[in-house]
Amino acid sequence: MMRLRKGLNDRLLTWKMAGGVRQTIADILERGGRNVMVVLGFIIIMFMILIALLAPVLPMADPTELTDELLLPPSSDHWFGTDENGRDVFSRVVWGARVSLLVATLAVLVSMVIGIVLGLTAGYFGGKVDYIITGTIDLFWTFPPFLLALAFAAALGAGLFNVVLAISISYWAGFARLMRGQALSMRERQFVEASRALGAKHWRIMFTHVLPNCIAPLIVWASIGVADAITIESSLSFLGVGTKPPTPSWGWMLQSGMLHLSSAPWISTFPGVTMVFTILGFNLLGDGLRDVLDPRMKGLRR
Amino acid sequence: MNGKTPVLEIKGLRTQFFLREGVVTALDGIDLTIYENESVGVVGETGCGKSMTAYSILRLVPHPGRITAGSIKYKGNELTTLDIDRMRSVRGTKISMIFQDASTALDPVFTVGDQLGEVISLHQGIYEKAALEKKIQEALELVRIAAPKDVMRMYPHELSGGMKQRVMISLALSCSPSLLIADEPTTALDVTIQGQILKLLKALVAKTGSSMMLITHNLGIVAETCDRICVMYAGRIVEDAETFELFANPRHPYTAGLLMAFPRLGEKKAELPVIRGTVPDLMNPFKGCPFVDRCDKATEVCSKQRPNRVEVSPGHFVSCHLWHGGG
Amino acid sequence: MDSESGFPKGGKPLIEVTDLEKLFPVRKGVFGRVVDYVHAVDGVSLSVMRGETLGLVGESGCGKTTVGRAILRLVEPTGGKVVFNGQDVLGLPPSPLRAMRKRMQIVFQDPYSSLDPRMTIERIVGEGFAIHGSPKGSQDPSVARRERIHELIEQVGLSHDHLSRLPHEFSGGQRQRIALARALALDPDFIVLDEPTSALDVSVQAQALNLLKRLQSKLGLSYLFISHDLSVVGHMADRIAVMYLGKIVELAPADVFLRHALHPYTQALIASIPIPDPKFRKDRKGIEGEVPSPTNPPKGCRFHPRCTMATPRCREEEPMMVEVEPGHFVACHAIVRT
Repeated sequence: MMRLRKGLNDRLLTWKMAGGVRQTIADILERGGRNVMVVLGFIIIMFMILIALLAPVLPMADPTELTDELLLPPSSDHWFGTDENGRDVFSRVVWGARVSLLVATLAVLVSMVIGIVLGLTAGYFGGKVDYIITGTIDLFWTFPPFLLALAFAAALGAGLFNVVLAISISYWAGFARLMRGQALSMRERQFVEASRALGAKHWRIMFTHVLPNCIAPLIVWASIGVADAITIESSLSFLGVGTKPPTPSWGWMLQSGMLHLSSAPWISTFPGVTMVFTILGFNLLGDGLRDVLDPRMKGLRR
Repeated sequence: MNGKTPVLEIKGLRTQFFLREGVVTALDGIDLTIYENESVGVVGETGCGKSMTAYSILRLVPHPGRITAGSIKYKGNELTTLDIDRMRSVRGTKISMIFQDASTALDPVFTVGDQLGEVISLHQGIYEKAALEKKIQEALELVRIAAPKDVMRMYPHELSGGMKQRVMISLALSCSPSLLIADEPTTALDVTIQGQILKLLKALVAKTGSSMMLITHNLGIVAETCDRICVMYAGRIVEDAETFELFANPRHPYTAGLLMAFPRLGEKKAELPVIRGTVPDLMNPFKGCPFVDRCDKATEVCSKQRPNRVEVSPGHFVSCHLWHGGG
Repeated sequence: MDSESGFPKGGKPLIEVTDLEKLFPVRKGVFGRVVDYVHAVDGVSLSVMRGETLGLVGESGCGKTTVGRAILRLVEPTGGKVVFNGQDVLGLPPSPLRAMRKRMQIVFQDPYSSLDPRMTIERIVGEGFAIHGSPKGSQDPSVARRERIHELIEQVGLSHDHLSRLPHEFSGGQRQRIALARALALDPDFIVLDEPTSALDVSVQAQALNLLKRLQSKLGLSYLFISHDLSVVGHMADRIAVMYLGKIVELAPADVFLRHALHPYTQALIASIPIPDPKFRKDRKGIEGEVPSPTNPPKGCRFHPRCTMATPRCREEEPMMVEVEPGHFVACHAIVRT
């Protein structure tokens, strides 16, 4: 155990010295490791990811297999019971996790990329470019992400990738705004001017100087973004415009379980609780990281 | 010393910071006395502890630091053990401080008149509007601000650096404190304005009869304005003497080095004589003299034993083994 | 050439600046209408010879920092001409401009923000190579790069094991050395030093100034040394120019300057410097009044509201730079008349 710890510490040290993004991450890992929320959130997330990844090899029933064992309460055969089509709820919850995490992570990644590029460009260049991009950001920002996602999902139709797209389109504005603010303040720093004096092109400055210095808040946002995305995806599925059946989705399960809420509550409850659990993990990580990164006790460092 | 009464007596002051990585000893046994009607300059470079001395006097040492030893007496009253409320009443009325950056010391959402008025009414008990306004005007005129009636209604951000500094001085002197501590009061100002402010400080202090403790890294400023000078290094006072004496006969190698490293107008040298090495790390306690690694005249005893404060000539004190025998 | 730029007869200057102008628009109102201009730099002419240090002195708002940046086109001038080694700088399109940047570099005032906190020293110093390509040397470009970076870091008095560290581990003086190494990487001929030692302690400053001088004679560099500190400039510069509100008011060789500066503002500046010697304690006159804002400079001679020698002509007419003795130029009606 101590060897592992030492190995990790050494790796962290090397990363710190490498500078750039790796240094930020090493910084975060080091400080985050001391924060309760971060550690807790991290454990939860890792747990869920592990389960989601291992879904195909876990000894579970087929989540799409229709059986005659309808509406059975939780038992040793079916840990979470069965639903109205005789499908094993536990298995569906686990596979649902796979879907939700996949969709949420992809959606956040896509919106991050769009948001970073646009936000960086707007903040760094200013002027007309900024004007146009900010206008677009504001346009998207006016609508609550969920409504926007709903509109796009309805337009695009149900299906996994459509959902990812819908969420990305509704979420990118947040990242863009964040990036823009960061870029605006970074732009004035003297090391940016020094780079220009050396003859660096704008793209180089943006991606080697500005971006690495803004990673921290992005990670916070990304974490909370995944939590949000899971909720949105589930809500979309609940309303029928999310993932298509038979792909198991928590939202879908919540919806179908609604009819049987009083007679067979386990159909909705288990996916619901798992969802809350997962979202909690991401929120904890995000909030914890924000605390770690935000009021840096600058005076204490030498 | 001169038969004058001391306003401030500091003996053996030690201030330390308790960090996760270790303990930083910002001040390591400071002995300093300021008498009535005198200006004492405290000079040193970054990190020597000069500002921390001021904060310690006023018990404004930020967390995680605190005073761990020594005594600070204001007119005979021990300050280190005063309770918070009594200490608050000392700050601003008996011992006042002005800072380097006036913009952070002044509240941006209140006018100059409001801020001055608040202090004046609280401490002089004047609340009636017309009388208060007159007092504010007088306070501004005292610091030679032109058009005080207009300036009263302005907000800090509308004023220039020099004017903000004057307002701060006015605030500090409004209650006629016995001791004014000025922490790098002119460092952020232009050279020509600097001259004005220094002149002003000198005149005001003489007029109100206060004593002044002027903290700066600029030897030129203390040469002009102070009666006595203390040179600080790594949390200790290494030399203190009357101004003329210090410049004429610097005894401590650090003081001598500092004086030589100053580029002077009219003296063109090929290279400036430097003090080799860098400031020591205050986290690692050192046994002997903190200057030992950078001193050309260091001997064996310098790294083993801490030098005592010795009077080498009347009123001239040095902490250095070179002068151990005294006079 | 013209006496405006004040270079000694003989050699051709490395950098020649003529009537440099930088006006910043002041916008007000909802639509950002331009209502006024800040005359940051208003017709500045100077030149720097090969291997010399030209000192540029002035207080806040005088425009000296803008001059430095404008010469390098870090800030685009709104008027004037800058010629570097015979080549016009202001008209250069982006690509040749980038190539020219190798020849002219800058060291900034604040050592705490001029280095990217997320980059190792090696990357910082070597950034020039990442942009322009590795230096010529060994066959292998990465080896050549490494060797050159090692050479640079030694030149500024730091050691090889500093290269893998990050900026926050270094003191102000050390960071300025790193910034200097970065500036020297591409073998420039000319370096703008923008208050390089103002943020440093006296003893660290002395070390830095000595280093600058040593490197200048070793590498044949030319410096534009910008500072508000006349003592430092007096020590470093061969010739000194004084700026006030966007204009140069006096220009002279350093020793002449210090012996008898003529312009009332220069004299006031010199008189204001606190001298570290109590024998010179004087009841200094200094100047009254505040440093005015460059947005609405006074008509005529810009210094006249604060000048003890102001005449009616000073209020109306702007004085021109006149050579009162070889190499010594002053812009003042009162002086030039006598």
